[in-house]
Amino acid sequence: MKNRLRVLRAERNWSQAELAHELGVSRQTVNALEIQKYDPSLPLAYKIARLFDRPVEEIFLHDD
Amino acid sequence: MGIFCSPRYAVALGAWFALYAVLLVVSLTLIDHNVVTAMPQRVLVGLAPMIAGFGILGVIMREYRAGDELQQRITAEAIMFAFGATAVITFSYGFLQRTAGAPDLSYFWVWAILGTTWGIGTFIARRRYK
Repeated sequence: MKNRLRVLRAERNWSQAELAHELGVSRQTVNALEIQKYDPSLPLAYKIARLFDRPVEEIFLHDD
Repeated sequence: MGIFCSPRYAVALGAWFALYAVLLVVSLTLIDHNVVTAMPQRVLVGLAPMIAGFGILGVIMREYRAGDELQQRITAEAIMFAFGATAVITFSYGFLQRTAGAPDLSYFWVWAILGTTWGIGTFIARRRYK
């Protein structure tokens, strides 16, 4: 699954550590999400969507 | 901060290990000098260090649950690797004992193998998400 997390984070001038703090996860987890090595759980995906005030499907794009 | 790396975890684990060390010394002293000879008191004194073992188990489980979802996944993958690898190694050694006369080893070696393969499993699992 692809995502626009890095772009959205850059728009807010947040570091990975700051985003991790906002989401309550580790910086390593934010990095794994951004480089698309890890797909988040549904609760985390919704948390990210709420944080950036976007629908989930605008942030996470299925490969198909 | 990675799971099982936080200072809070290190302090809690260290405290329980300190208690383990104290209980172990007291237990071994009482047993080795035959201060406690009656059963089942002797068995209970011999098992006393494991009171700290339960504390260590509790600290480890709390730390695991405090991790985020990726950290928990990496830990689970590492434990799966360690579990399987330990089975392969111990079974292999068991067959070597039957076929090649390999010497008997203490059961404590199982934990040494489990701990080592857990470390290797963590290294492998972390690399998958980098």
